[in-house]
Amino acid sequence: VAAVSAGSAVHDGDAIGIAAAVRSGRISALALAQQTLARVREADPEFNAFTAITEERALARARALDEAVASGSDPGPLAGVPFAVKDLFDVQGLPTLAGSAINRDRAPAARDATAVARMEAAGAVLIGTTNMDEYAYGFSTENSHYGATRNPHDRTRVAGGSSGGSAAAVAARLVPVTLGTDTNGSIRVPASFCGIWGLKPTFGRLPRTGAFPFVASLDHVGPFARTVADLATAYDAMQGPEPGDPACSGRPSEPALPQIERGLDGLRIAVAAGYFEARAEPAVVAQVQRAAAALGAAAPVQIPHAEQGRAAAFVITAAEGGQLHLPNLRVRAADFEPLIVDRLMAGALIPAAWYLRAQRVRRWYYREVMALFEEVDVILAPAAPRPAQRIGEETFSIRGNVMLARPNAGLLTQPVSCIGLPVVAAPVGTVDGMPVGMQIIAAPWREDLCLRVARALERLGYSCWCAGAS
Amino acid sequence: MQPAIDEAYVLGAAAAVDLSLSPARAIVLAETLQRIAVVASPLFDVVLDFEDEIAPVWRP
Repeated sequence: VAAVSAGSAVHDGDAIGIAAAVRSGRISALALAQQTLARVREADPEFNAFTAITEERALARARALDEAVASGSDPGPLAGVPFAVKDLFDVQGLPTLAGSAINRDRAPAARDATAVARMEAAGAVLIGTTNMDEYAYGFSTENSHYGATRNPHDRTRVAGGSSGGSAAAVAARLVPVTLGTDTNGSIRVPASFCGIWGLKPTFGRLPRTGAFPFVASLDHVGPFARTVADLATAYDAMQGPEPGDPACSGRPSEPALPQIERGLDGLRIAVAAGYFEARAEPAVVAQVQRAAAALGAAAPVQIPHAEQGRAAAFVITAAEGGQLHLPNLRVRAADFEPLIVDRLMAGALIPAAWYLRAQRVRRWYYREVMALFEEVDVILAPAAPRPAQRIGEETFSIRGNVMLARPNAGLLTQPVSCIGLPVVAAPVGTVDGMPVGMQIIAAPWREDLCLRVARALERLGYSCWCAGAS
Repeated sequence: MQPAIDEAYVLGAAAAVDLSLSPARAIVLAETLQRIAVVASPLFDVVLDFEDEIAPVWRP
C-alpha cells in the first residue's frame, strides 16, 4: 500500500477518487485518516469548523477498511473517505450538543444517527462533528458557546448557517464531504457563502432518525461536497426508507449518480424572476443570470406566491421551534444562546391561528407551485440575497433596504424548502471577492434533475471555490 | 385578521403556557412577535377553501 503524500489525496482529492484508490489498495484508509486528522488539528483553529474530533473511532474504522480490502471485500463507494457531520447528528458515545450548552447534560448517544450509519456502511470514515447555530436556529454559525465559524475565503466573515461548520470544513479542504441539515436554508445558505455544492433533497427523502430536531415539518438532511459526483454519491449512500423517522418516505432508493452525466437534453430550465430577483442584490442576480445563460436558460418564470411560502415557513419555524424548547425556556432560559432565546420564546407564544393558517397556506402554495412544473423541469434562483456578512454584523442591506441579517439570510431559500422541493446549491461566482450560490430547483423526488443540471454547470467550468488553510 | 400583539398579549400567552417573564423581556417579546406578524401578514391575504386542510407533517 502506497503512502499518501501530504497535500495530495485528501486536501485536493475528491471523494470518488479517494474511494477508488482505497478500494484498489493503492492507498491506505489508515494513512488517509491519519493525514486528515493531522490536517484538521493543524488547520481548523483558523476556521473553528469542528466541535469534536473522533480520532479513536476514525482510526479503528480505517484499520477495518484496510483489512477488508486486503481480504478481497469491497468496502463500498465511499471507502476510506473522511467525512464530518453537523453537531446535531447522533454519534455513538458523544452527547449530541446541537450547538447548545444545555445539551451538555444529555447522555452520550447510544447509537449513530441513521445518516451517519449509512455513510459508514458505504465505507466513509467519520472524523468529527462540526459547528452550527444553536439548535439550528440561524444562518450565520455565530455561536456564543462554541465560537463563530470563520469563512475560509475571508476569516472576518461568517460561513453561513446553520450548517456553517460543515460547509467551512469542505471549503477549507479539511474533508471532502460533510453532512448538514436544512430547515429553511441551512445547507443552501452556507454552501453559497462558502462556494461549494450542497444538496437539500426532497422532504422525506433522507432519514432524520438520530438528528436532533428543530422544526419537524421542515427539517431535511443533506450533504456538502466539492464536486457534484461526490454530492450524488453521498446522497445515494443515505437513501432508503427508515421507519424511525415518521416523515421519511417509503420510496425505494433511486440512485442519482448514474444520471448526472445525462446532460441538459430535453430539460426545460427557467430562471425565477419577481420575488427572487427583487430580494437579491443586483450583483448576485447578475451571477445567477450568467450561469443560467451558460446553461441556455434565459426564460424567466414566476414562482407564484413565494412571499406567502416564505411567511408560512417563518411562522411554522418559530412556532414549532419555540414549542420544542418550551420546557427548557421555562426553567433555564439563561442557558440558551442569547442570539436566539427571544425568538424561541416569541415562537412559543405565537397564536394558534397564525400557525394553523401557515400550515393551510403551505398546502395551498404547494399546489400553486406544482402547476408550474407542468411548464418547466428546473428553476434557477439565487441561494442567498448577498454574500456573507462580517462576523458580528446585525444588519445587512438588500437593494437599499436595511434588515436584520440573521432572520433574513433565508429570504430566498424559505419559499422553496417550505414545500419540500429538492434543491442543489451551486457555486456560480463571486461578488466583492466572496462566493455566491444559485439554487437549482426541481419537482419533488427529482433530485436527479437538480444534480444533472449541477453537473452540466460544473462541466461548463462552474466548480467549487475552495480555499487553502493559509 | 391578526390579534393585536402587545405586552398584555405576551404576558397572557406566557402565563397560559407557564412561562415566567420579566416586564423587560415581555417588551422584547412583544417587539419580536410584532416583527413576526409583519412577515406573517401575507398569509392572511390568501383566500382559502374549507378543503384547504393543514399539513402538519406532510410529504410531497
